[in-house]
Amino acid sequence: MKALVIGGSEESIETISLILKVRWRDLVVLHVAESGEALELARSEQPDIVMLHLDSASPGCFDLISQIRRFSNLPVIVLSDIGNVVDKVRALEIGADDWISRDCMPMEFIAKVNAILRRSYPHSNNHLSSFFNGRLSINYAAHEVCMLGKRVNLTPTEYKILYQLVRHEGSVVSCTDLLRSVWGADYEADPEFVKKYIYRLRCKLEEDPAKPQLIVTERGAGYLYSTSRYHPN
Amino acid sequence: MQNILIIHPDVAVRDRVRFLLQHSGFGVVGTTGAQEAMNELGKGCPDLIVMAEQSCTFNGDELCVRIRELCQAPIIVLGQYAEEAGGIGFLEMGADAYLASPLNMRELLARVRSLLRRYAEERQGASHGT
Repeated sequence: MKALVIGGSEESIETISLILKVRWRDLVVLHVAESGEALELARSEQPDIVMLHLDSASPGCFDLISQIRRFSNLPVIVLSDIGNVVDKVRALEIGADDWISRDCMPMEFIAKVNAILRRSYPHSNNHLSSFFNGRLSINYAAHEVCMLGKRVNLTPTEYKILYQLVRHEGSVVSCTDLLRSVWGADYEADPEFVKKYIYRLRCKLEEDPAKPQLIVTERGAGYLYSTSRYHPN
Repeated sequence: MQNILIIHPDVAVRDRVRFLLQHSGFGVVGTTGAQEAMNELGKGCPDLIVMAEQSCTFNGDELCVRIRELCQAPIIVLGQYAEEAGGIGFLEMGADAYLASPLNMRELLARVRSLLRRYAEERQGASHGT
């Protein structure tokens, strides 16, 4: 788990690291004091969670949440000593996921962070921030897809379909589920739509789109993202 | 319209929460306890659940756990006590937030909106990115 912690004293960073390491042994904490640098790191480092210290010395905290929300849906937690409900409501309304008092108990802190990660990364025990399996890599924050290190340009719909398949790697995703998650529950799209997009994806990702090995059709069931059937020539 | 299920035995609190949420544009179903809530969940999954700490058990099981067997909607627990630490167990059993007593309506509304935003992203399969 990678956490980007913005602001706060060295001592408070150390406390946060100690507490979170009880639950996430592989924890990596990136600490920055400057908000400008924080934005850069939030983009480039793809942390799993952002923790922002809010105190009277850091009034720019709210702006920073808005700026992060312009390019990412990363979970954001505000850590503060201020018990002011107005500030708490403001932070939540501009995009923060939670507000945690700095004097909260360690187990409470862990439970809150875990609840937010569970909600933000529902299909991953590892709280995915990027996907890599040797051939295909996806940077979820930037929506960048690379095949064998080379950038592949996907349309937003193609990306959403690939994202769904990769999220359920190894399991069949039905056409109905793809339609619902990509086009929305209210949109009555033709299943043929999915077929067309799958074909386009294969043209961009597969060595031989006529004999797909990454995005496999499971007749009558749906589509499957699988690396196990891939046999390089 | 997004729908919210309230589970609260205290009619005064239930009505206050219902009033706040209805006037904020949400569809609201109010229930007095776990059994009635489970009946409602049997009809369909709401977009969010607000439940009282007092209503936390169902036939001897934890209600949060039973709800999670039926749906993944965010759960906000309204605490009976002033200590937020009292919510650890609920968070571990699948709740998303625990609001200590006394209940602050503005905070509740902000939490509802924040969790609905996150749940909508989850359902659209866009947990990350723009």
